Amino acid sequence: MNEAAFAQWAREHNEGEEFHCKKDQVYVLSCGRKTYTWFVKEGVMFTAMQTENSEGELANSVWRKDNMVHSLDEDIMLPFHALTDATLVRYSSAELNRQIREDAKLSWWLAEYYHNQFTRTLSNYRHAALDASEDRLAYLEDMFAQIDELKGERISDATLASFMGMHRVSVSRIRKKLAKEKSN
Amino acid sequence: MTDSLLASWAKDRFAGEDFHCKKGRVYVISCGTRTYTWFVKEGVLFTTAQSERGEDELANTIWQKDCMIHSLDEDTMLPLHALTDCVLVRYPSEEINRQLKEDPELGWLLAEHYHDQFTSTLAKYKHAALDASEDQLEYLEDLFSQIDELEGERISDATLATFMGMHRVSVSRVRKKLDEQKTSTPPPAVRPIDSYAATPPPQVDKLRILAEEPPDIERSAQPEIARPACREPRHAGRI
Repeated sequence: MNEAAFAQWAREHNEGEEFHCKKDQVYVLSCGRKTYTWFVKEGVMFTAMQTENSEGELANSVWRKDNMVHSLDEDIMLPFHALTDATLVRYSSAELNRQIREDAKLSWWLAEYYHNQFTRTLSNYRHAALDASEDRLAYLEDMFAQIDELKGERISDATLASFMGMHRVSVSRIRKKLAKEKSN
Repeated sequence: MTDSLLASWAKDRFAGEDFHCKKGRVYVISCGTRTYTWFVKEGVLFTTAQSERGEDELANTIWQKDCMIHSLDEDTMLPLHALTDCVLVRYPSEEINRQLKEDPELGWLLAEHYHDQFTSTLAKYKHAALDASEDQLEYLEDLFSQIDELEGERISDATLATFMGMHRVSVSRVRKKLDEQKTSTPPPAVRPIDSYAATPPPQVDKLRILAEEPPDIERSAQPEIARPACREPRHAGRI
């Protein structure tokens, strides 16, 4: 089972509420065992490196179609930055988790979900911890470049700065330096 | 709690193999869906910030009693540094995972295990990414001070350096600076961010894979035991 199949399963077995998000705006989602589980129906969003209440495990991630936003904490408030117009759908976590816990296949899938989320997020942090800012910026630009929905768009300095937890001026400076190096 | 439940379940269901590890030594264990799942029976070990082949999800972690070392990758080779004498027990992953997949409650426990592993490891990376080395060092000293089995022991510069992926000299320098600050005026409001070089990776040719009867493995780090230090107050667990 992959994330798309899981998103479909959730849709077929639960009553969801849709939310439409506008590009470049920030939305705070309530996510956790006592509140909601979310899926991205369409569009691209991201959570920054430093989030409200420091929910590290869901920070610094890019969220795309069919991605699930799930937490085993009680309730966390997550600021989501919309890179494009997006639609989110939310379900009651209590009901969703009850169904997952009753189904061996779904429980195993959830374990895989956390494992994959983990490795993906860690690679972002590892870059931050170990690499120079230029390398990190190059890595992130490459990461964003691989997202189809963002094709042809240049990610702004402000957006990258939000994602990286840096100041916009620092991002501009590094980008200018990298561009200069490319032309030399 | 989750890992304790899984440890107890595994002990009841499977015949495990025990391995005895000596304090101060490094052991490379094979962990993955095609190899083994491990539990710590007693003692404390850690994996460093930079592990061989970049097995990030199990890197930079402290492993204590009942902790499960499990991976959904096929096979990862993990260098585990023994902070105390330890006993590890291993089980073939194939059988363990087969049963985990058949039981929804166990599957859920595995999901909780990964969630908890996730948040705990990320806390350390976040510190590395965002804080100055002094904050990171203080955070880690506090983390180690909360481990009962290490009570009264001072974690050596070499050990901390290995854990942090820094050079021992950098750790000594930062520790000295922190000690000086404690005895003099308060630190300035803005602290420069130290840049540091990573410590060399474990010397692979000196590490051997844990086998039936674990051979003595050459020490790659000799932790020092100094005079007992005061226990620092517990910080909140979440970042």
